[in-house]
Amino acid sequence: MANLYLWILLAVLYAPIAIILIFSFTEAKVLGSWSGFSTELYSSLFRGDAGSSLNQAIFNTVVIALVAASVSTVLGSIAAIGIYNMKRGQRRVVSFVNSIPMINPDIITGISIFLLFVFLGIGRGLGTVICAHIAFCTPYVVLSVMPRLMKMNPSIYEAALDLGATPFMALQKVLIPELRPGMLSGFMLALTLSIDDFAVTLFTKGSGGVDTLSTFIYADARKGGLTPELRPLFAIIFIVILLLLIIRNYRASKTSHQV
Amino acid sequence: MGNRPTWAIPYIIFMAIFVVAPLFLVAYYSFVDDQGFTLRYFQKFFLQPDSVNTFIYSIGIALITTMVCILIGYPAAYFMANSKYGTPKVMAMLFILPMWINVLLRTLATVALFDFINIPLGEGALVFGMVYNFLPFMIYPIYNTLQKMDHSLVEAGYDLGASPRRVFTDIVLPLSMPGVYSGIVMVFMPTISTFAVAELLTMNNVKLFGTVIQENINAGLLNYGSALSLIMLLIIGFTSFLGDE
Amino acid sequence: MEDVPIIKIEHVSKVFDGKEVLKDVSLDIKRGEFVTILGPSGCGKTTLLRMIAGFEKPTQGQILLNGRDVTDLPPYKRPLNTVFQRYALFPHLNVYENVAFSLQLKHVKVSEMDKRVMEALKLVGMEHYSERDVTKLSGGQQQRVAIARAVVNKPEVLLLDEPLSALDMKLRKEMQLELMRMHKELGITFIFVTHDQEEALTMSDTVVVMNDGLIQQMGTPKHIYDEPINTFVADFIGESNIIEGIMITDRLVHFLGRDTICVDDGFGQNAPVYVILRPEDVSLFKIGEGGNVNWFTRGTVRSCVFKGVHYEMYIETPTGFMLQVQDYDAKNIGDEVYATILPDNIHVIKR
Repeated sequence: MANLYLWILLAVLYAPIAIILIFSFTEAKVLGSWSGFSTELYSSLFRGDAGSSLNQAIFNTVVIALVAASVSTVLGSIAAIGIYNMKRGQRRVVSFVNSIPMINPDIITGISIFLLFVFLGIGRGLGTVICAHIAFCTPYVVLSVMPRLMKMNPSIYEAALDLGATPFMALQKVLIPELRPGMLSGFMLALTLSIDDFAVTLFTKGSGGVDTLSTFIYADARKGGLTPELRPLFAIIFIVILLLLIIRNYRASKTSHQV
Repeated sequence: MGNRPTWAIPYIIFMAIFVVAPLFLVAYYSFVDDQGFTLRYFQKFFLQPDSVNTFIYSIGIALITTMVCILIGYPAAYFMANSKYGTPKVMAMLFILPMWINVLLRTLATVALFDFINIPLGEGALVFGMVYNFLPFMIYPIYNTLQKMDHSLVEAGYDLGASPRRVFTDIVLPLSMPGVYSGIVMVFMPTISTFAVAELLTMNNVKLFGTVIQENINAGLLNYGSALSLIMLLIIGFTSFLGDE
Repeated sequence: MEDVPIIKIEHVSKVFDGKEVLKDVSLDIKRGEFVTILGPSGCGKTTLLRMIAGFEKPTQGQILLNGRDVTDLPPYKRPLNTVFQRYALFPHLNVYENVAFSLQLKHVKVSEMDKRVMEALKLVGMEHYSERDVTKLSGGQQQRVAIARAVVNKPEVLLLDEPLSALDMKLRKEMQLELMRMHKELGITFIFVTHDQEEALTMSDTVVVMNDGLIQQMGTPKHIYDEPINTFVADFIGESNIIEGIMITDRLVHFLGRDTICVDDGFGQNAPVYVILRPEDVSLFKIGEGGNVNWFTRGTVRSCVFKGVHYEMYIETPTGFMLQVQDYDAKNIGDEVYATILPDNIHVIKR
């Protein structure tokens, strides 16, 4: 009975996704009509037939996500070490500021950063989008690295100095290897958040045509029709995320068995 | 550890510029325009029945969505946490998985589904779609609290002669409330602030507060848009304060 | 060179957040000695060690190494190494890589590095564990690796920050002996910080007793045990009965209501003093059984607990003092006894 409820719920929850997956294998322009099995949409997506704006949007999404996630990871990891070494009072203030972008709705984050650029008279474009993405991604990196720091034996940094490492070498040879798993999951999280983002990008991209996948879909959907190639793209994204989660869960369960 | 607290300085400066200053700018634009300090934009909001109505309507939609999510999500979380057989871990993962997919894509998929089975887009579809989108955010925190709950408390309840019903109402439910609260915050906040999702689900027939804000900003009415944002910020602050309590 | 102390601490003070944790400490450490800095937690001993290592800078004063001022030298430029309290092994490196860490930083040739790492591992008896993951080792094994890592670079001084405190009793005793052996083999100076007085007395050539940011007393274990300079040292090192008394005249002290012959002199007439009696120096005789003994007090046995080798008893004297006594023979609770002690074992200090 209980399991039945859960499975029905899952079925309903996944029905829309299933619809898209299924209709990614037909050529019909309109979602919902079936014109026979075909992988044409997939080949068309990879040939780039869908039009340069979709290709550009995919490219922008990837560039923005990679740059924002990399900068966030560096900035956030260094900041986490700094925050970890702060006194309680300071740490609480910084942690509070750190939590603002996580609590704030995207629309407020987007509008407030938009106002900053307006106020400073900065023209919007790729750079402003990346800055905004760094702003809402970094807090998550800080939160991913912090637990590693808390778990770390605080003496290992001093041990490295004691054994002749300069502070920079100690950072490179001891601290970073120790924090790497946290930095990696922070990077992955930042990557997903950046790719997923819609509202912040919308307000910071300006009218210069710096579209990401999200804003492209939005514009596309408002025009009425959905570019058919989005179906296979969506299917691929979904499968990739599914695989990543399965691998992560599998590895997590394996390590938890070892302990 | 020497002077390493200074390592946070670049980040603090960055956050001051891109998080703190922008929020102050929202407040600034709400109260200050070419003619100096003004409450005009708040007057405009409160004097226009339209905008106040949209505001109240949005809160209503968000509350209904949140309620529906609790009603559907709580049993799901409870069953998962208590499942004696089966594979609750995989289940939990399946419920979380949609959270990793772009909200717009999920919404479009929902629109496609409604199209497919001929459900008209509109108010009903809106609540349905929102529940679709945000249900995982309700299930996950409740599941987490239930999972971490000390099972011996339930056994102690039975041991002391409580019926299964009393064990649920007097022990499990109160102990799971923190999860419900964070679920409420995690569902209510995005639903109150959403704009694109509502547009897509109703073919732009139903306007939510988020859409109104976005339209005003888009139209270049920065002061009014900021005032509306500030009002939303107050709602958000209030909700997260209640969530903390 | 021989008579220059390897480490000279000159008038060092340290203030943390307005609290003075070291107060004008001066100390000479002789080359090749096994020196223990002993004191309760918060006495400043760890701060002193961290200053020698270079992790803290003194607020005032100087630290000299081989006669050279190293006060401002960062830790990575000091020819001394530390064994940390919780080992601080690098979890992402294996045993070999941990020990080789400092040699790799110095770009020592691989063949030379191999030789020295294995030598160090052999010294600590871990030569068969070089490929192991350090997180999978037991506490005692991690301890050994930490020591190997600290000595592989042939430091002039090895600093040990309560390295045995996380080990269980049996392992701790074993490691004490091991450390003494390593000290002999390496022939370098060991500075060992601990709060365990038994550890300090067992291992060291010199014990430095600290309390409250000050050095209380410094000397050989035997000297410190037999001649504690004040009540703190007497109380902290071993167990003691500390009794207020009056030095009537040279070699005659009044305590517990009676005048007793002792061997101390030079206090003057009727000087207020503390009389310190080690519980194991006191013998008990049941009244009416021992014949004519030279007793310093009489009393009633109030408790008697078996402690493995000896019995620990508390005797209430007519003045109301609870005298702690350790003896191999048990007395019954309620027995009336005489307590005796050799005059040589009565230790008197100024009050």
